[in-house]
Amino acid sequence: MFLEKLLAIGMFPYNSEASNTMEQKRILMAKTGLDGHWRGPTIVARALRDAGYEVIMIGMATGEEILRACVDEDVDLVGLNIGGHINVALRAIEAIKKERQSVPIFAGGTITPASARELNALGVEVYPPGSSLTDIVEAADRLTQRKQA
Amino acid sequence: MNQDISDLLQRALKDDRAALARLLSIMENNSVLAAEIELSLLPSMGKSFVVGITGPPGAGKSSLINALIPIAAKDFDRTAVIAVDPSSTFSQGALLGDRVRMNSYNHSEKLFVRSMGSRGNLGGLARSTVSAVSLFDSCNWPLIIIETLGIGQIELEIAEVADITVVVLNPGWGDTFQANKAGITESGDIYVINKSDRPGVHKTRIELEESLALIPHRSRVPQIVETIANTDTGIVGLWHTIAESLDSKNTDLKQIRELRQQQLFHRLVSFKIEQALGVATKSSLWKNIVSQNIENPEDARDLLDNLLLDISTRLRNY
Repeated sequence: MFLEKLLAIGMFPYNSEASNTMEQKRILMAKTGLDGHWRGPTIVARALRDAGYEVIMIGMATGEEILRACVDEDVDLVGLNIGGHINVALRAIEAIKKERQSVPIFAGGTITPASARELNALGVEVYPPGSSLTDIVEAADRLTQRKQA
Repeated sequence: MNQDISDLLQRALKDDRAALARLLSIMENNSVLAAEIELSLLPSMGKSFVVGITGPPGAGKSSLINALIPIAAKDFDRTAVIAVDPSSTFSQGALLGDRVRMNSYNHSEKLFVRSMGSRGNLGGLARSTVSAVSLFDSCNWPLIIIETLGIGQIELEIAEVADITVVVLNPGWGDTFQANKAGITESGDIYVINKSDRPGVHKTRIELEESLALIPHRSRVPQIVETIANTDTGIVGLWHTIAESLDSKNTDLKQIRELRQQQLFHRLVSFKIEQALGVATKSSLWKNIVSQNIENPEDARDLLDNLLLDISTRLRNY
């Protein structure tokens, strides 16, 4: 095959030690609730951006759409904004756990204590209203270490 | 090239989306690997059409793409979209928000949307955007739409990369003098006045028309299309114009392929020179430029010759 031929004749002479590498972590932010407002996810996305992350916003999405974006965008972490009901979030979590096991998930928004316990049990960290942006950025730093290439 | 990347390439070429997505990240994170990957893709490149969408921030580029996707699907099996947004020069972070407007077809297997931060590149694209095009092309995505970040007047790298460049403006955009400045009004193949329900559309069209009619180096005067992306107004007409333009400009895929091949090698060579320069400037010869005693123009030329000799030796020894 062409690839092997190139390798054989030493057509890949680039010095791999050169400084053109920078691992940039990527986070997907999706809205899953009925609640249409953007303030929460936008402020969080902004804080993550200022912490050096590439934050991909997809707005209101279904579980399937969130999985699709998670795969295509090759993200290191998924943030779910929840507005009351957690049904859509649960579907997204289930889909991601099935197809992209190594991608961690955290959630924020209006989440009842019972729902928070349910999400925690699935391994999803929950940041309810009142959480500090510093804590959220720290969580992102910690969670994005987990992913295997 | 290590085994992991070869495996990913094999998988991506067999239509594994996750492998394709992972390769896109690798290319973004490491320009050395990107160059290697692109070189190995060369035999499978040159099968896709590339449409570039550019224009100032907020002109409606993402919304237009969202509206175009279902119509383009009638002519092309699958569509890949590469959407570039600016990276912060302070934190290197980025808020990539183009997907928010492209939310109508998130679920379709036939659409692959990839968001990219510009990561310090100044031409309206990310450095790895072109590499991503090569990859999508090789993996059989026949239509590739690139959305640039919101541009000012001259960030028009897109015109080099795309087969067709669509410039999106709005009513009230500038005046006669803006329309006649170099840059944005000489690089498009098609001009869209989006949000055409807003006042000033007629004046904008006339000023654009007058300016475009004077472009000396074009055989065809670029067409102007009015749209309202949010209500799908004028979108079918716009796609028709794009498709027609693709037909008339580059029906010949062979020609596109040759052009891409040429561009790829130009890029790889300039990348190698850049790399060599990066290493060279750390050497004592280059560090000592400041302390050289230059008393006449001949001294300056001698020094330059020495530096060029140093670079060419380094390039040969790679």
